Amino acid sequence: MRTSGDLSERGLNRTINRVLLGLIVVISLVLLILWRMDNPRVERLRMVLADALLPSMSWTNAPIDVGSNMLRDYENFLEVYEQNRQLRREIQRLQAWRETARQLEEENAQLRALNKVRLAPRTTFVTGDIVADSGGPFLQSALVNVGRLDGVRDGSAAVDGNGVVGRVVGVGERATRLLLLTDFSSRLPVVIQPSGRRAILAGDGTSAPMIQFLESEEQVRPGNLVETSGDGGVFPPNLPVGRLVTTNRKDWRVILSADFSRLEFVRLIRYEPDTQIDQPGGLIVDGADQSALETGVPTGAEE
Amino acid sequence: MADTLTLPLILRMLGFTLLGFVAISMEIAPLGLTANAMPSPDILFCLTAYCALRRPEAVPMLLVFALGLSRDLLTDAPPGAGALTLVLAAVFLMEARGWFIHRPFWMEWLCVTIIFAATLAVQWLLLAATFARPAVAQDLAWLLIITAGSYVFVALLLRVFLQVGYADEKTRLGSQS
Repeated sequence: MRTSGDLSERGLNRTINRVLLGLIVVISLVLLILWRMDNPRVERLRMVLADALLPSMSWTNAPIDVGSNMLRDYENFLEVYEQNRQLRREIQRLQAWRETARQLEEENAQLRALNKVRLAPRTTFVTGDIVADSGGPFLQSALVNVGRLDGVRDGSAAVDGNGVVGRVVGVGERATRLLLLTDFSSRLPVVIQPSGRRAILAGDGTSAPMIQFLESEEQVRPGNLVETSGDGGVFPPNLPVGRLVTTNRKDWRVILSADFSRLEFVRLIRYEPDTQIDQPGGLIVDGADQSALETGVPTGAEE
Repeated sequence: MADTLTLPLILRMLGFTLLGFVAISMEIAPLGLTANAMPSPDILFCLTAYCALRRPEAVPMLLVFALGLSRDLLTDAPPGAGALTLVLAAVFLMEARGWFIHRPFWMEWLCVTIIFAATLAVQWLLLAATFARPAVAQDLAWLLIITAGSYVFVALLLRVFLQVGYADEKTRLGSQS
């Protein structure tokens, strides 16, 4: 038998629950809209949370890593015979290439000496361990256990031993979020070698991203090497991205060089492009010399 | 919200939080970074659904929302969409738990799968309504299948190892009738 007190308490609880639910709906929709507006607070919130939870994530990942390593070792064991045959063929091919490369290197050194080619801009890197991936159907991204304290900057390129993996889209103190090249929102300026044609590599959720805005299809062939163009000054130029292929629908795609199936560590590149002096504002001169620079008349000529 | 906070209740909530955190850690473990890798099962949903039916007092709305939002933020999913649908699913299951108590497990499994499909549909609609790129239908279908399969394992683990079941409820309901 329920008393009227019980009933009124239940009614009160029901009201509180409805108010809470309404509040949750409003907060969720506000967050969703902020995310769609690319509000930096959402990204900051992500990175704060990643910074806070990263140590415990590493702890829980340890047993999963052991399991996946065992599985991978077993797969490697099964593949070893086929790998051996492939490696023998590869050695034969590379021996021919080695001689060619040596000749090209000598030629290149001579040409550099003749042309006084500028030295490459200073490029350093920091290596991180991938501790989490998005795991869901909405985005293809990963979380790396290095951050601002290690010198990682927003927009930096991420590479594995073979090629570009993606770019940094969020930096916390000790964690970094990478957007993989395969994600729908990934866009990367590339150059196709040897023709030098420029294009944009656009992720579309498949393992072979599309080539868009190709300058010209002239001299572009399947199997051509695709590298970063360095346009925009965010990525260094000439990082290997993959090989060009064409599909039945006559569009160009890229088989990525990076091995996403064995991705455990990534290098985040700290790239500083060449300094370009395009105005006199950066020169330290006194006032008189500055006015002379602006008028083009040397100070000594007035006397 | 209905119950006063007692020590056993606080412990249950802490237990649910801990399990929720483990579920998120398992979901985001870097097992498949290739574009065609299978999506991770939504273990947090399985856990929440199972506990909402059997221990609703240990699954308060705000806690579910906090866990859902943490998962959204850590997995780069649209923030708020996953958390909102998780809360709505938990509330629906809590309201309907009286119906589930005397039903066989396969029926519960089927209903939970349908509810999960509904949460995916709501997320898809929310993204479409905000002109964001919704997930590919094929990926969502795989997520649904894998999560439905995982629910059985989650239920088994919670029932066998943590003794989370309907036993008390059935006894109480039986003595009342």
